[in-house]
Amino acid sequence: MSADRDVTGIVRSWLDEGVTALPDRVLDAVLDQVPATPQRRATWWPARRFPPMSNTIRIGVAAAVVVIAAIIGFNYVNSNVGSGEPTPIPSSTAIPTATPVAIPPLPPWGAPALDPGRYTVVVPGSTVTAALTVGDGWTPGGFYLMNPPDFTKQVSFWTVENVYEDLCDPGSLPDPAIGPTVDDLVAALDAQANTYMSPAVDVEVGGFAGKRVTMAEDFPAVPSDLCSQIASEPLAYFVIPGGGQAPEAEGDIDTFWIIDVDGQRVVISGSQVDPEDADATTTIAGVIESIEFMVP
Amino acid sequence: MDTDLVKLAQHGDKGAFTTLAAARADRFLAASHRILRDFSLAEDATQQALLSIWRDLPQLRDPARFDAWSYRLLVRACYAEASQTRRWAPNIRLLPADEPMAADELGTVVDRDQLDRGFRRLSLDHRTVVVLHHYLDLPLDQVAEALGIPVGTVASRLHYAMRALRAALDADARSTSRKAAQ
Repeated sequence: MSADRDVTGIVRSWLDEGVTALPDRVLDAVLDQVPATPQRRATWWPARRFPPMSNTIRIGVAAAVVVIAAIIGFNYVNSNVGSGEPTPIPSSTAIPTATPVAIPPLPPWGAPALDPGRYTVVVPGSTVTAALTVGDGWTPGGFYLMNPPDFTKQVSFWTVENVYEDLCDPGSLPDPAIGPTVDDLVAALDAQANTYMSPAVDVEVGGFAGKRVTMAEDFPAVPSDLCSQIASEPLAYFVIPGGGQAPEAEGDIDTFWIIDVDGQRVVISGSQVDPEDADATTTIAGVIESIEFMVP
Repeated sequence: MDTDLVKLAQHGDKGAFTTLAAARADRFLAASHRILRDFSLAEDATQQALLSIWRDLPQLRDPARFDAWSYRLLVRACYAEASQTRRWAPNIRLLPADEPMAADELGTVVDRDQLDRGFRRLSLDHRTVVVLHHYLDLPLDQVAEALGIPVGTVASRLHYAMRALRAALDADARSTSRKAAQ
């Protein structure tokens, strides 16, 4: 059995075989075309970096930690002095208070497995910070939770800029982009060709209302590989700051909690490889239920 | 990587671009051949990618990120070539029939054929991730940057792809065991 074999080594060795040199005529053909090919003078190229985090996110995380620490400290003090007891009369004597414990931010990709506990995530493209609780077996990725080595379940946080009208057509982005509300996004996903969306369910996450939908690539209608080839580039359900959120593989389902957090539309994605994997469903649901949002 | 060359090429210096292109041409062809499994498609993809680099280079904001950016253009060119054909040409490799092979060599050849078949059955998305990570040695975060997808998606695609290739090798191992038992 290959479980006992170094499959990665075999694959790497196999990939190292074969053609490695470009015939001169091909490079010559490129260089011949260069003089007649004008360069596109643009002033920017959109950043497409995912973890490690950008400086903006780092600063956001740092700011969020400070804000969260302040909120926790405030709540902690309030909870200590509340509970129906008479409010203590202020005195000139200093009242000892516990030092609030800041919730650590979710580390970037490449960090070791998480200790079970509570972490914060700055939702990319927003000013919203989410605090969540994770159990054993999760590995962080900035705004991502994964469970290597199987990657059978993932939780991630997004803001959505636009939605492809056809999963298989990267040129199908509507212009102007979809509207900013939860219902706008649900309607766009529901109308997307070559995907299947479950009926939207009213939900509440962290005290904020929204909708939950489950998306799957419509594999019976469009074989995944054919769709990839038609698309000419990696597939994505929708456009997010810095890239796209794509179906993983045949059978993979993505559940989106689309929440209106004080006017900012936050999408929490829970992906699981096996729709029948009750443990994955329960674990993801547990993470979602633990979420609290903080908006500066 | 020489960022000065990138900056010169961004400003239309054809000599600088020639140096950059020549330094990457072989690697581009090797990667695209492994993604597309077709030599002529790979040549076309490489050619298109290099031309796209020249055309779009002024849009690159950070010259230090040239490599990841150029791989993104290469991947797009590969996807474009795949979309134009929508089929995979059979690459049948003839083996020397009369040369005796040691058991290890036979195993290697069988592995190779099984891997080839298993690799062709992978989706384009999965082949691309395997090649970028296991052939070009890009770490997962750089693969994510090159593909414009989250690193979590890259990680899971890589896992699925390697699982499929492992299954292809396992199927071969079972088949070989049955033959040996007969």
